[in-house]
Amino acid sequence: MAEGIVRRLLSTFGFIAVAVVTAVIFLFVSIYPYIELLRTSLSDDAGRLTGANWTGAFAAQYLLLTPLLHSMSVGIGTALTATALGALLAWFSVRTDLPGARAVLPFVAIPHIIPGFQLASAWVLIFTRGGLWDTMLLGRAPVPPYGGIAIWLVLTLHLYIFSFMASAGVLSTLDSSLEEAARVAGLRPWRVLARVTLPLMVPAMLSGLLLCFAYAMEEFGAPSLLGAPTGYSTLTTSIYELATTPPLSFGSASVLSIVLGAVAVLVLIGNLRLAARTRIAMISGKASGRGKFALGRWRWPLTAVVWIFLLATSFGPLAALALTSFLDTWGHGYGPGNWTLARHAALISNPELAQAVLNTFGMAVIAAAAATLVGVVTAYGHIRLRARWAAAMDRISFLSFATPGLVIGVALTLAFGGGLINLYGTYAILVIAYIVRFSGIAVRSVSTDLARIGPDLEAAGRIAGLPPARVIARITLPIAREGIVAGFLLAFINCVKEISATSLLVSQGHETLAYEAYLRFQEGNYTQGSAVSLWMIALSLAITALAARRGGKESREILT
Amino acid sequence: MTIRLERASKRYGNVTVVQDLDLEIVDGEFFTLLGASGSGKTTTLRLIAGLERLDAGRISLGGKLVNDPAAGVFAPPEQRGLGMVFQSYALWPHLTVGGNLALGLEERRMPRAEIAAKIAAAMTQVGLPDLAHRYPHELSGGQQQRVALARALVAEPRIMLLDEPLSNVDAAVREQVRTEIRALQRRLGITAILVTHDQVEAMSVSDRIGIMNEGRIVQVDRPDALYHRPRSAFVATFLGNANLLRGEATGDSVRVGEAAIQVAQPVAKGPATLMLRPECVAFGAGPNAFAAQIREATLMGSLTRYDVHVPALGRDLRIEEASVGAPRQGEVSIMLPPDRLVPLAE
Repeated sequence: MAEGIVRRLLSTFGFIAVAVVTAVIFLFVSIYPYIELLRTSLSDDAGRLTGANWTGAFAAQYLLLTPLLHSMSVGIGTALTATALGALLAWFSVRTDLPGARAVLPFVAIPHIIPGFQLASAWVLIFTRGGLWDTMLLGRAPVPPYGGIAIWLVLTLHLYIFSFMASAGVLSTLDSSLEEAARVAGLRPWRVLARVTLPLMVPAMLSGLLLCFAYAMEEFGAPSLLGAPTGYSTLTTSIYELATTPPLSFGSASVLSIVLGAVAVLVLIGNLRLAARTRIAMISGKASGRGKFALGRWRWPLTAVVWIFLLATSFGPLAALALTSFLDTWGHGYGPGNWTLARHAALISNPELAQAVLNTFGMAVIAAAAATLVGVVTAYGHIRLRARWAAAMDRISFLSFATPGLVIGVALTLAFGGGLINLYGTYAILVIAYIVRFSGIAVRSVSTDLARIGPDLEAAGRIAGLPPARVIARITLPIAREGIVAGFLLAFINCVKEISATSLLVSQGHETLAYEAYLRFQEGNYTQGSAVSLWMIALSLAITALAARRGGKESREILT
Repeated sequence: MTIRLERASKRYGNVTVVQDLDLEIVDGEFFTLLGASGSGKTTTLRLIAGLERLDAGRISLGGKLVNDPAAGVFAPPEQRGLGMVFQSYALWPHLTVGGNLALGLEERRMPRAEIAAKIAAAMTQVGLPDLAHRYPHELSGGQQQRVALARALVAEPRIMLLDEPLSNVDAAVREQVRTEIRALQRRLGITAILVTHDQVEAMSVSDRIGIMNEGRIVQVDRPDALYHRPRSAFVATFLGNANLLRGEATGDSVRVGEAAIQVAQPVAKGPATLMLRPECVAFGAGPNAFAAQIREATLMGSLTRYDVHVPALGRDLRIEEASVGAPRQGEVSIMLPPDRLVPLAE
């Protein structure tokens, strides 16, 4: 009896201890770096308080204003085209009699699941001179391989899923009698589209617009590979330059980071507010499969256009990377004489790449496990205990997820690059970066599941004689298992694909696969870069599919 | 405006939801399609609205053919000039109440002043003259219901379709709105078709009711005729409670169990079913009187319900009687009035 009480007490204290340690460490690594970031932006090299970094950045056009203008152009351009594209495809797939409409989602998801820098590389492989397009006798490439326009188009493909999901969500829950009522009131089908359907989609489209804008601003890989050759600098590439190319200027880098971080975070918070308002405005939600829009004589031409687009934008990049990964030497043609398996074998035989495989899995597993722990502690504290510390963790994990990876990279470099806690050049600093960046994913995943579990289930456990800790262990966590597993898988795959924070924090011997692939592409070693990318994408697709299946009804959200 | 359906049929895949339906609704009539869910009543309404297309048969409105697959004729809903109230109201959430009413009128390029006048008139008709600037989600359920009605009427249609318009409002509002809809329809002199599964609602507002079952109309009649003179056991039991006495007709009487029951009109020889409403069974002596035992008495308020066993008939009957004092008990004599016994089609 006494032994039982001791064990119960220990398990209760064990739970509390784990929760407290998790919360303290997470809050420390998530908040302290930003204090350092702010301090650095207001200090000179000797550490004295100054506004010179800020005034200097605004005075020198090349330093802040030009990259800001470029980032804004890419962000706005991408947001507009991605929103239009996503909404249009969503409408086709949900509300019309387009053949195969239900199968659209995976093809929309593939260009998003492929990391941005790999999609950009595929773009180059296809459209550069001597690339797949002109070699396949299709004539001159219709789009530029490098520069602002290339970044815009690549990011449009990479990000339009956000607009697609938002619009498809509204369209599939839209009460179809809203449209039928307009028909009865005397509106022809196209007028119903203009006067009823489209206006009802506006909030969702706006939400997609903001998401695409923020993520386009945050993107580092694609602009760095596509912008550098033509000197098209964005905020992210400028921050990378300032923080990695001597003479290093962390003062300016921190100013740019704060500007970029502020824009991205504000836009994403705005989107959250908008989403909350939109849900209230949609009063009725009885979806009915009746009354799909008949495309009539446009049906088959539109089918051809939509499906050619979807297949080209999903299989095109995959095919380009796959083909290139089997080439011995890039630029020596695509025939069998130039084929080899050496680039794939290199993942095992090349010590550097083999190390990167181990690093990637090790870091991703540790970081994802830690992120899941943060997710469980935060979700339980926030939803069940309604504790203030947990509400703070919930918000901070969201903000960290919204913060560009490069900004986290700069902040962590400043916080742990010297001084009391010196983690510079270690394995651990990468793991910390991943935990900070991706805990928000696990928090969201676990919270969604936990919110669905009625408190009565736990109350019944207490009545049945289980102490609080045992209720969590035997009832709450097992029921929320699906969300916890999905959260782990999603955090894992995001760690594997991470490139922006990695590029700043990586050190000799601690490279990841994503970083190795990025380096190869940057050096022009397309064949090896493609081989590494191909395996990463295969892993991403497999794990995303697994997480989507586990997530069940939430699977559509998981893709984004 | 007259509505006519001839041998109308509609299938979804292999399932026939409306089958060879013939129906004529006359100008100015309040007609109700009554049936259980899945009986095809809503599909019939949607066929009339043009929201569904016939697979076979014809529909004409006011003598004008609007759907005939054999002739390749189909007028889409926007060309049919109808008003319709949807079950979910289907008020457009992005438009104000005024905007909801105006949309169809604007589409006809009606001058602004005229639109404003029509909106004001329609809103006054439904008793909400001051709400035109509000958004639907700012209104109560009953108000939304009235706005949906105003929107259906604002273009002054000659036909109004009502798809279970009252199923989403609470009981008190339902009765009031029901009376108002009926009064409005009479005043405007328009043809109305109501779809409902609520028999009380159907009987209280309709000129005629069509009872639907498995895609067919099984009986069309005035509400009182349907209730008191149903032609089939299905209609008898669908509308209220019924005692069904199965037996053998011998001409002017029907043998049920050991008893010969006298009927007012002759019944064709052979197997027969007689229907008797619980409230038509009387306690006391007279023709068709039998000894009975009360098994259970339930006070329902204004009525008391009895389940009695009648040995001569070899079965139980249900009886309803106005409540006066304590419920009856024990042995009683009951009587089946011959003119209340309705022979049903076998």
